[in-house]
Amino acid sequence: MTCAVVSILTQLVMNMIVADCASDTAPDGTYLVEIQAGDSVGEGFTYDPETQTFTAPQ
Amino acid sequence: MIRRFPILLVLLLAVAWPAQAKVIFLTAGTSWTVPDDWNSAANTIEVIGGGASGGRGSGSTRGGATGGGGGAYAKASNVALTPLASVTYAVGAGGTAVTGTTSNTSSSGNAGGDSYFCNSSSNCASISGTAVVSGAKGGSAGLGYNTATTTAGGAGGVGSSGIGGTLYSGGAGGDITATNTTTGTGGGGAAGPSGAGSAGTSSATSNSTAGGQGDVTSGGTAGASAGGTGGNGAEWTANDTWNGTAYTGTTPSGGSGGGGGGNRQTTTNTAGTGGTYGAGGGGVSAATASNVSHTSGGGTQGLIIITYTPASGGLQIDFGNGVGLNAPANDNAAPLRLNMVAVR
Repeated sequence: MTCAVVSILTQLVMNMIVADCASDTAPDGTYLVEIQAGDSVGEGFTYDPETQTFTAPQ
Repeated sequence: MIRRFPILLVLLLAVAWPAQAKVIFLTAGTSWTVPDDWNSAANTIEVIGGGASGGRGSGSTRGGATGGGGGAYAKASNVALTPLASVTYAVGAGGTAVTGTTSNTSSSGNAGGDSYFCNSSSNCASISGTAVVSGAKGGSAGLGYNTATTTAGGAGGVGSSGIGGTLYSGGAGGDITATNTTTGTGGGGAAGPSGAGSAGTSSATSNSTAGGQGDVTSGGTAGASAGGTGGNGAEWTANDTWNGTAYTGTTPSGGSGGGGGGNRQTTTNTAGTGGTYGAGGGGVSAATASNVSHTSGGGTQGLIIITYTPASGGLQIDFGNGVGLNAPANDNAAPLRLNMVAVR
């Protein structure tokens, strides 16, 4: 599956990778969020954990 | 009187042939354990970034869209790693396709992710991490628009932004170079060990164009116009594939994929997907005002290719309980020949 690598500090998407978002270990200082079909996400997007949505950079 | 006792002489000759290089693909996951026969003096770590998806043009009969960029390539040689240590890596994802109808506004595609490999499990949160020893950028997204304009294809992953001794850029999606066109251009090919990926074909008229070939001319073929799928690369043949959880035991071939073909919606409504690995998808345009769904071509994921020559044979001879042979704990041992000769 496709996962967004999200910074714990900034909530910014740092990369998009192929991994098991639930079980694979996230790189230090990040966590993994599964990308659903149809989501538009890329590096620099901001993730909102409460709404579980991604916002494009302004 | 001289008694002559049988004499048993066992001669063991263990002859090690030169070890053969092993090739391992990393296709998913984040963590890999360095084999115990890792050779820091004879290895390469190559990476291909993820390809981007094409854009989707719509909203009017003049909507057009460009293909996504292909992933870059990087290679590092003789990387020092600690046997049995755990290291972190990232396999860049392909940009997912975008879909909509002619009544929707246009949309850009999605960028491909960066692929990179680190020499430790820390300082590896992005391609900019200090532990990254080989890294390649993903392609940039193709664009879509509603009204007549000129539009550049998604840029290929920039080779010089990567990490490694050899760096090549991915191919860009095809440009739309004239106004008043309803055009879907092809995606860019992925870069590879032979060089940059080729760009998708540009256009100044209302039509569909082909994608770009991967790895100059050595990778996957370009997807044909009107939605052709890009060809898969086959520059490497792996001994095994690590998917993040286990070795799959397969011996696949893989390489730099060709870009997917663009599509000006006529008989079909989907642009071509890039070939594996790292290729950009085609852009899709709406040539008619009918309110039907149309979908851009998705980019394909990146790849990490680890090649190394095992450091030693790994054969152990245990004389404690007679003569026996202990097989190595892993399957990366060099081949050995054992000759046993008994003489009375």
